Amino acid sequence: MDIKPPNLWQFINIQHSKILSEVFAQCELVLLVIAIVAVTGILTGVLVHRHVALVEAVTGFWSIVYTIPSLAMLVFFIGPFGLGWVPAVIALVLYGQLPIVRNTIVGLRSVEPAIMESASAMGMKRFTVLRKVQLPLAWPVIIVGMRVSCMLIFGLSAIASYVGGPGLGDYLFSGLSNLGSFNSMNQTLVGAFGITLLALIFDALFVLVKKITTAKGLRIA
Amino acid sequence: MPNVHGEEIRLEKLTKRYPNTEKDAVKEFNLTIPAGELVVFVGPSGCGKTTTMKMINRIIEPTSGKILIGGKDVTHTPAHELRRNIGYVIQQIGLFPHMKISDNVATVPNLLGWDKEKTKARVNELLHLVGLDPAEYGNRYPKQLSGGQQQRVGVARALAADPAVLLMDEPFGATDPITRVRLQKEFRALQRELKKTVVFVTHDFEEALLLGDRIAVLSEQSHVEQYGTPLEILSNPATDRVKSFVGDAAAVRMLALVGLAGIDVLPGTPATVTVPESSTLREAMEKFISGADSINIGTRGHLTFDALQDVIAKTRAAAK
Repeated sequence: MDIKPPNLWQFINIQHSKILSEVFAQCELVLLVIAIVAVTGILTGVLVHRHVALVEAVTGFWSIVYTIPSLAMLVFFIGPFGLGWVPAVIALVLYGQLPIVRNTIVGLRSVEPAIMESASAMGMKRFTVLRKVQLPLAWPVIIVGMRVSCMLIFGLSAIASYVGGPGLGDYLFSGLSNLGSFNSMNQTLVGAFGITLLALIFDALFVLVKKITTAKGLRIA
Repeated sequence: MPNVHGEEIRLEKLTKRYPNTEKDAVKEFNLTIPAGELVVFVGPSGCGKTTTMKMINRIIEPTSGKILIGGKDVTHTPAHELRRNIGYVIQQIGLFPHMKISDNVATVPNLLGWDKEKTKARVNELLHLVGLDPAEYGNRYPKQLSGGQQQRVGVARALAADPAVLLMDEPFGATDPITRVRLQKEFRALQRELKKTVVFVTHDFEEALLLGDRIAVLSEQSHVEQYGTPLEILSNPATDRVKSFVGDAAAVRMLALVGLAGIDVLPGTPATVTVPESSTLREAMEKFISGADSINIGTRGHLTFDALQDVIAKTRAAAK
């Protein structure tokens, strides 16, 4: 007797609890990585932005890291860390650095000299200038860097399934590698559409967060 | 709030040499700026006048020399403490675009840890003082104000903690001519009331004449060509450089600096034309040019053209 494979909707219906748990795992992974990238990337930017030589060294370094093929990068970390979350998180954190480090530096450096001079002439100490003036003014640029990082991380998080990372990438790859077999098409589609949809939702969230967290005085045209 | 009057500024052998340069940008600059006076540094661009001014609040650190404010050596005071007692206004204004106008003005009071009520009262007082209604403008952002209004806020922000000293670097230079003249006149009136010690940098000699109690004419490396009242500089330019800066119309410009209040007049008021006693020689001269034979000076007396010429000659002689 010929058994017909389920169509996509039936497949989702049957597998919905597993799909949902992979969606959550995916979100968890991306949020964890974004959090680490944001903290380390902004900190790096803040520390180096005033010194041209350091700026060039740091952006140069992360540019090189960025050019390493993603699969190779993931595989590097299997050696020391085995399979699973750890190599996936490390690889994604490294990949996500460049946009946010670069945007933090650009944002901080592009604050008008007159504004910086006024701030110190009012008697603000260096750290107060950073906290009260420079970071709020650079924030819209920094958050765009975070958004770009986030999209990058999403793309790579699918590939991270190769090293046992969590998320919808499993569906994508097991579907692709068994193409032609029972349910493989459904798996591939769930993986591909799922990741795309999640990425779009995160992107929209960033637009919203940018709007909410940007000082009102800067939003006025 | 009580108004803190200015304190004397004394600059001794103040020198700035930038790294990897052959010459001092400012060389052994000596000047005493009396308490409560507005002194204008005027000179060609690149002469070091702005550098000199910025060394007073150490936005530019001097290479050597001394800065004394109110007799106290502040050359090595922590910079942020020094600056909180020195107002600072620059041509580019430099308001913080992400902060409301009221928060911009409150910058230094907040740094000094004033309580909220006191700060709020002071912000309102200052916005009134510079001609902006706090209710209307306090909650706006810098981008929502015109250039002239922004610079009024700049002046208010500089005065917020009632500093003894005010540094101004071409503050009205970026505004249109009509706004500029209005801001200059308003600021002159404000300064007469506040009596801060003001160092005002400009390359506009007209502005220097209008605002300065004294003018320091500077040339390369911030060399002081002449330091004196506007009248002294116009009537007796010390060097050729000062002469070229003053230009041809020195005598005419001088007329605008001398008020009619103190001059000798002829008794009686027989003339048909009257000028108020608060006018200047220039306004009196204008009446003669327009055809008057003699003019009444308020109700105090009158002047003929010959008498006016005598007055001018005496004024010039007195200034020398």
